[in-house]
Amino acid sequence: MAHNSDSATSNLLLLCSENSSTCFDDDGLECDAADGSNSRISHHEGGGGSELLLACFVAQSEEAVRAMVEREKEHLPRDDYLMRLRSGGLDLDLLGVRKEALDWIWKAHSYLGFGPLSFCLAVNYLDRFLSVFELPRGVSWTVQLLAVACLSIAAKMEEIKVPQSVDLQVGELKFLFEARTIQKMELLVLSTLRWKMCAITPCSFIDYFLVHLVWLNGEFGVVLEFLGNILNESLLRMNKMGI
Amino acid sequence: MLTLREKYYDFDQISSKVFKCRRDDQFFTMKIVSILNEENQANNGVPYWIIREISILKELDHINIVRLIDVMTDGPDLFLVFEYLDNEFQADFLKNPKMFMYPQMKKEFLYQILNTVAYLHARKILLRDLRPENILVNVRTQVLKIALFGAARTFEAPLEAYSSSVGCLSYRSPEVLFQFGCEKYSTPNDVWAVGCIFGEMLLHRPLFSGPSDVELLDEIFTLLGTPTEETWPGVTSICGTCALMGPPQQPKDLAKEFPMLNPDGLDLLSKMLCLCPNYRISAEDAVKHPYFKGV
Repeated sequence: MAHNSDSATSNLLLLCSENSSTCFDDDGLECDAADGSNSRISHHEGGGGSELLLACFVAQSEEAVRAMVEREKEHLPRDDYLMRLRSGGLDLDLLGVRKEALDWIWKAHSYLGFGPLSFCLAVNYLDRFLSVFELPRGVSWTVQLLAVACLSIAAKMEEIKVPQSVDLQVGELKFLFEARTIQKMELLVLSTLRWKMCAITPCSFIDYFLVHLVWLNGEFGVVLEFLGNILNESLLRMNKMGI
Repeated sequence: MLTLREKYYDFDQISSKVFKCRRDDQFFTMKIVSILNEENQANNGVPYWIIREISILKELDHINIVRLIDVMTDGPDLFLVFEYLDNEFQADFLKNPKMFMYPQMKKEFLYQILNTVAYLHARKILLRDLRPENILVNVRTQVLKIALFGAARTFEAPLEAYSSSVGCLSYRSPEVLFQFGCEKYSTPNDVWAVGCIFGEMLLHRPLFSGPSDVELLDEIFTLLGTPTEETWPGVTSICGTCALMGPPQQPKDLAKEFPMLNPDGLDLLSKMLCLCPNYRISAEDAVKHPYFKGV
């Protein structure tokens, strides 16, 4: 895929827009105005930076992919996480906690019609958070709050239209959290993950492999789209099963 | 986790929301951003653009980009800790008179800008709004820093200059101008902006300065000629405004407009200011251009 092609380039992650600059300005008035308009315009027209998913489907150079593999290490749960999940042992029922959170994220994600990358991101945040943060034992609402916060951040990173955070709480929920509480949890997740939210997920590599597969076949376009759909689907299933 | 005041100290206020502070033997610039906003923040948690911008800044590590080092939270406030740039760094780099004394320095800075743009494009990040105001230079060490995400204000750029240039169109590419507000930015747009900065470095005045979209396009076409289907395939279908602009114009001879520039420089400038975005040189290729031999 040519870098110059219009569709490829227009999908690039858009940053540093005028609005974004002004939102960091000192002036309070200007800040409020920019915040409000930015949020509305970008969420409906996708002008802000919502093209992250699509950016994922632009052809990458070998060098870029190598850098991604390197960068992926910074977006993984702590090394002992898998062992702790398997062994259970002294820990709180980590596997159970993960399953409960994942279960809700999966259902809510699908109900809200979000794309595959926001699902991958939410699970990435959940796992990274659980691997370094000790949730208080026996307080079941924390798990649910964590799941809501992870999905909320993932949606904000990725989706064009994001419902208000209270409205993310769909499905059968034991608790209903206030926006303020969700915000606090979001901040806790963000700072615990050191704001490294542009996680490298399996999605990030799909197009690289697709392009190579397609070149082998000598076909383009249709094949690419078809394979993309299949891979996305299977990726979602895999993640759902916790693979 | 350490609290803000445990981690940083010796706060020195620079402006209402910007502080200089210290940790160990190092200085930092700290910017306070509130995530509260009357309109929507009560319902919607941490604003999406703050999450996106910070997390992208966290991934960047380039000598020519003002680095975000740390993010602290305290209640509804975020404290963005940036690398500290001392007084030797001056914002709005083209206003620095020393810039024009040494031709070699211009080339050096142009190279650093292109190199940074290539770095960002390789990471699928667009600048969209590259302007000399957001570029800081240290003339003595010849290091240039681009302040992303409005951070220019962090470094004491004059308020008036900053505000007045927010609506500035000068560095917008023809393809963006054609869309009239419907902004469809892509990588060639950033290269165009660098081309304009290149021209401004040489002429000591903005290359294009039209106060409106139409006037700006007219200025661009006066210098580079009105695009045709040959020079820009598909232009007639997107260019509803060409008709408004009177008779088509022939491109001027850049060698006469920029007599100070050698043939390599002219070649690079013309490739960066190529009207058709698809034919415009990429930042990656521009960095490798013979003009920069020896930089």
